[in-house]
Amino acid sequence: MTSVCFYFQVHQPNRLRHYSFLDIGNSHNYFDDDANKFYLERVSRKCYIPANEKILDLIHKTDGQFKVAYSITGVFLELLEKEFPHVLQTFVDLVDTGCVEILNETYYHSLAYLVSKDEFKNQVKMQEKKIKSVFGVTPKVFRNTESMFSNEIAATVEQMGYKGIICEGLDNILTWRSPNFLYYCRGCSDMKVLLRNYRLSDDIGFRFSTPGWSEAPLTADKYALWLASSPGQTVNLFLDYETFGEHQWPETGIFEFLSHLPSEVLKNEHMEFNTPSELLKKYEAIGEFDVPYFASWADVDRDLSAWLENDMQKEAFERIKSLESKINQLGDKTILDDWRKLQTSDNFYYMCTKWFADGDIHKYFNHYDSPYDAFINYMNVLSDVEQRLAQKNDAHQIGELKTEV
Amino acid sequence: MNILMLGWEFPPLKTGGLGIHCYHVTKNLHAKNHHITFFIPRSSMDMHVDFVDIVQIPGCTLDPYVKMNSACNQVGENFAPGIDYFTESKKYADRVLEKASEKKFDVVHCHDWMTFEAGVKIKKKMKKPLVFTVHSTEFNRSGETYPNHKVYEIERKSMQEADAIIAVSNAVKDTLVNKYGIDHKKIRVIYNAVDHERFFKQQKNTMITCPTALFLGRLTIQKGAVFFLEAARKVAMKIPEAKFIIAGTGELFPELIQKSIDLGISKNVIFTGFVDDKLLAEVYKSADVYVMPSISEPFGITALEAMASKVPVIISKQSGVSEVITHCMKVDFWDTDKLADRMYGILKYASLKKTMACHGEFESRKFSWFDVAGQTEQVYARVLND
Repeated sequence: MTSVCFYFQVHQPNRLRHYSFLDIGNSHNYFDDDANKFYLERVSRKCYIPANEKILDLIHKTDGQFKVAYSITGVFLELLEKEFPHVLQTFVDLVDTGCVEILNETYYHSLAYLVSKDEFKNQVKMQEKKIKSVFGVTPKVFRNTESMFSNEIAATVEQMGYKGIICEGLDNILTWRSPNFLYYCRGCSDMKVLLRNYRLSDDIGFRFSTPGWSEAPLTADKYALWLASSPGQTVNLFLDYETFGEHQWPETGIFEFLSHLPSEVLKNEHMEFNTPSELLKKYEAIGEFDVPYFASWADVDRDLSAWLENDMQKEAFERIKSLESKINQLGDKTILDDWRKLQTSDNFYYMCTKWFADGDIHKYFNHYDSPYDAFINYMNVLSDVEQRLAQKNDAHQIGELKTEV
Repeated sequence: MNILMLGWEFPPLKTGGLGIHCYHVTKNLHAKNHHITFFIPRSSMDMHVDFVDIVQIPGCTLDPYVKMNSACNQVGENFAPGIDYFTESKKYADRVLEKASEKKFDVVHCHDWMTFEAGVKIKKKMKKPLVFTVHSTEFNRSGETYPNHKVYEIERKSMQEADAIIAVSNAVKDTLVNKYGIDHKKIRVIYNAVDHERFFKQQKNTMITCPTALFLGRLTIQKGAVFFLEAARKVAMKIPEAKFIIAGTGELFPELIQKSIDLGISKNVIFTGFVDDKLLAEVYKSADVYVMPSISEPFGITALEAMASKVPVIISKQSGVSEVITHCMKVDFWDTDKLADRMYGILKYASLKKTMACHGEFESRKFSWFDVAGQTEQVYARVLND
């Protein structure tokens, strides 16, 4: 048997509003609620609603043989609950079929692991709780923000009780080996790593509608043949969910492709769809996957350079990181939430200068004119958080002194 | 090929992009084995260079922008006192025509309106193809408010006669199509460039240690120095030690001094007066951020000069150069809150300054005068083939 495992990442950031340096100390309202609602409505209309409907339909039509997995960030669930609860319900309906698995990640789609292990664990637990309360399930497989991965991250996640972890099918780690197998992770006792088959994933995610691509148009029967002829235990197709209808517009035929794919795959006797947890039960790991440094699924570099490469990104991140102990000491929930929202990886992605001149996927969903504008806006907000923190700490200390007296 | 070029400024006598452009394009055309005769109104300056045959045309005074030693620079409705520009440009046209008939050339190439009528006369009499470069239109010079109708009419009529027109940006091209009714097919956009090495190798001025923002340009409505001052006031509220340099001279000089006093930032503002060519690179290097808040800017070579000097730039969205550069920040000239915010950010965060400076310097290398000359050559080839 060969498995096909679909996993979709669902996330929308809390975009910061235009926050001027003149606002520092005067306004603590950082987020652009109107813009967030606007983008959420658009992406719900173009992607989440039609794609969820389609997938639910496919699950029914195949008598539950079609299965998928999602990870849905806490900040995104919060936004949906507040603005579009009926869209959230369509996700709940999917999970209720029993054919849809929810993976865990950080609540804030954040760089928390790079802040500290404690902060990371806090955000993972927050997300566990959120998923339990929204979907009534407890996730067993973990996927870190943008598939950031290292041996150390995997070990931390295993200690928290997870059985499996998602990672990019990194060529430089795999060398001659195939991503279509399960691997052990170095430094873990029995956690298994599920690797993304990036060639086949990107055929859908990036190349699907690329003009001049030699395989265009990509049809479901052709793609199913590629899957059927893939060696190994499983083909892991990990995609941004927005691929359906937003990155690939309906005009490209992406929804028709999705409609026909399950039946085309299931025509092959040796093929089936599995969720990540099913893969863990079904297959043994065949070898060791050893990532001694931080890797990710972003860009061609597959490292952290989309978020933490240039001096601006580093300065901004060091500043946010340095606040941890003060924030924890103070224990003010609003400041804590603001601070964590500022850890969301998107904030750092907007400051990336790597591909800026070429203009590509980084520009998509980016509401800033340039990485420089993104940096200034972020630092203005951060300055206000720091100022609030300092003021509250002073007040706190004065309060303690008074009690002592 | 032999090219007859008509201009009205050439370094060291220059006031803006036109002079810089003529200098570098003729130099690079010469390097490509073309021979250029350059007609220019007579002045007291020595104009000798070895790559172009400069012919000073006597008996007319054409100098529509700044007089080098004068604080007074008047354009649009209010030309410099005592000079009738229309009579002068007609006189120039007649003299040029006489001189041109003595010369051998394949194509005639004019720069901006003062030389356009002369170009048309030469084309008609000598049956040579006519190329115009539009560095600025009357709409730009008047800050998009009250264009001088006579100048507009000269521009419009002459441009209809031209065989090809070079515009220094798409914004200029759009103006030519939409405001002058010129056929878009005969317009080619060729962006200006920068003499990278000259600015890049300049040493940092270590005299000024406080955070410094720079404005550099003619002090006219068009260049928007007043927005720079308004933003400066807002920045100074947060960074009281910041300095704001206004480099250049022009009709608004007295007004801007008064404005800096009214805004209560006179101690933060430094007026340099006219910046000599020799000092130019050093002035850029003394700044932490260069601001070009022009109301209207056909191109804006200074932005490239600042980038080549490794100085971060903030430019108005209304500038031609904003069409082609990415490693800068772009604001609407009137949005002084946002301008102040961006200036504050660069002055405050070393990481931002460094990142912008590095990427900006690298990007500025894309703009070479050799390429501009090559593209100009293609325009000549096209009109000669038609």
